[in-house]
Amino acid sequence: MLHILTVAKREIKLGFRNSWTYAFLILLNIFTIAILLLQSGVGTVEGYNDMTGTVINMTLYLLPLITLLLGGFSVTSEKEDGQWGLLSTYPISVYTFLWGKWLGLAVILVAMLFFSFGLAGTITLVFGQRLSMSTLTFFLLFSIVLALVYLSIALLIGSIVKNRWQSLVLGITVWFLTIMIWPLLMISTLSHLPSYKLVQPILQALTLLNPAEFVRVFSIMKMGAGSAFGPDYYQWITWATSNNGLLIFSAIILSWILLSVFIGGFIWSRGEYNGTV
Amino acid sequence: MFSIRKDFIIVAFGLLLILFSPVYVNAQEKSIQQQMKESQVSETIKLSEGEYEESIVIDKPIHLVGDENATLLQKGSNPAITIKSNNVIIENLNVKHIATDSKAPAILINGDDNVLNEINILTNSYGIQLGQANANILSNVSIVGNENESIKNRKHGIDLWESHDNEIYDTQIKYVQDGIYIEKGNENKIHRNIISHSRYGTHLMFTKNTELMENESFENISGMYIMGDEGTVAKHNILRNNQKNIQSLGLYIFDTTGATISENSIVNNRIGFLIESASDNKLAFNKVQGNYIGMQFKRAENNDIVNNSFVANVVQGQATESSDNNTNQNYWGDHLGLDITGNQTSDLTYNVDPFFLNITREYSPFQLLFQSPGMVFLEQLISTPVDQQLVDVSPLMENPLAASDNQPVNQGTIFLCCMSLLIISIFIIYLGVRKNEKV
Repeated sequence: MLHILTVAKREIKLGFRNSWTYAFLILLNIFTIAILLLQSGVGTVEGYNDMTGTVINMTLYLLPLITLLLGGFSVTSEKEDGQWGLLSTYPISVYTFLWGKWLGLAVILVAMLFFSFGLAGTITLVFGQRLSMSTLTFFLLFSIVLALVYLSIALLIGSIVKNRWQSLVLGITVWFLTIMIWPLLMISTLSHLPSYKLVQPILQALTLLNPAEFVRVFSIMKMGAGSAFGPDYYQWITWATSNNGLLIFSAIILSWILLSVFIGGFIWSRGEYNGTV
Repeated sequence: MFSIRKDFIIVAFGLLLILFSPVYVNAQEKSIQQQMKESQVSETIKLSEGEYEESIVIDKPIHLVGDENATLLQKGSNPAITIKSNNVIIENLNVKHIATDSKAPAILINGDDNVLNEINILTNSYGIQLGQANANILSNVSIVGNENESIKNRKHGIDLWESHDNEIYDTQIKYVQDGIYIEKGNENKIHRNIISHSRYGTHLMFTKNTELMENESFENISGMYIMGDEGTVAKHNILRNNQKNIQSLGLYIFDTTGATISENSIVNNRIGFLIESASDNKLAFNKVQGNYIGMQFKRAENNDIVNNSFVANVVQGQATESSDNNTNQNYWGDHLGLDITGNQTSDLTYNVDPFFLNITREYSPFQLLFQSPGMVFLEQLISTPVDQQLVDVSPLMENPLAASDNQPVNQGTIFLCCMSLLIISIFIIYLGVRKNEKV
């Protein structure tokens, strides 16, 4: 545990002394100011509306990509620069190292999001636009959850590849698959299933396996607009809006984080043992 | 010896019969019918608490008032109450339908200017039927049909036939076929009724100038049917959650002209409103939100759809074989407008492209991908025939239904929140970059 904290502290120091972090921070800022201004320009209609959808989508375009790149590079640079080789001469396991990284990067990402939302919110208010507390909290929470899940995937990618290039390619692949072409992929493949009845269960299972879609669908259901998904998903809407909904959601998100970091650690330590990574 | 035994059996049977036969507590010795026969015109007849197994026919203007829990049991093939006279007032009465095969309504009205108030009806058939009855007032009526009966075998809650100038308000109806069904009636007023779990909430057929105000219709197959009518006015109605059937609709306007549909809230239905073979109707200031299809036209012409708000509908709209409908100057939640001239309308045309309909028509589970970030790619790939598209050449910039100035939200707290977020993050960053600590 102490080791994890040490690695996390080191990660935070390294992260905030890295110019890439600030480049991403500026990008995130421009983007957050844009979306908050966009959202606040809409007359206050309660609950979910099309603008909420647009803002959710814009967050989904950028944030996972930034996280995947930051997280992936953070691990691979250690491998490439030989720092991991040095560190591993100390009694520290891959898992400890990865969890320390996760914690450190999580602090960096949350700080980045706090900064962007804080700045964007202040600017929005200074410009005299209205901003509701629920909008701010919703998008902040949505972004944090998304960042934390994609961070663990980024660490998984960093663990299984050898260098920054591989990490970049794999990161973009994951981003492209889970976000950009997800609907196209689903529709083109699932409509060829032998039975119509298989489409829904498989799509549901795959949605659970795509954190971006899962977080998005849950958020929309939680905002009370779940009926947009049609009568096929009444059961999902029922559990999402029930008292246990948040609990189940957290459990699934947590298992995503735990699983990807553990799988990453497992493959890394196996590879190290075999001398392949 | 034998005869004594026989007598004994008869007596014993008689006793048993008395013991186990249903006892109806008739408050008065005389039947209601008898009391009415003996009463004067406009006299008040009071029914005390208890159950009355009677089928009464009212043929003169009297006032019938029940105590709490005064209940008429409807057993035979006749209505519990038949009103043949005018100016009858019935208040505070329960009617319970026991026979399951009878098609008679609980209350049948064939006269004019009658008043029904505070009536609770449990029925397996029609609730209240008005046949060629005018200017009656039905208020605070509750009608509950048989939940276990299939919808097609149920009867209507309130059924009007060739009846004019009637007023129906503050009723609650559920588990019937159509909540309120009006055929060939003119100038009827339907206000503040709540209808659920039925086929259609309100169903108009060949009526003129019907007024539908502040009614609520939810979890029915469809909210409101307006068919073959003229001059219907529907305002401030709430049509919501009518979506579970494959034919579910919020509002259906068929073969109707001159209807004014305004300020209604049409939310979470399968189709918000469908206008079919209808012309010269006006829909304005309606809130159409969260429906699978916002609005749909089929062979509809010259209808005016202006100043409505279409927000977060899966498919905003679709048109087939429809021409000359004016769909300009509506607010579309997914339209990013640009107002150069400052006239509050966007200078960019909004095309309602129902491409998502083509995806989900065959495989409805794909609806889970609604507004998914990758959808923009698909939009380019799947094209919709131009004749199915709706166009708004001057979409509104602001939602006409959004309260322009809500109660003052405390922006100070939000400002403080934003500032503290900023300060926390700067503090974390400072901790990260300061150099006096060894790593």
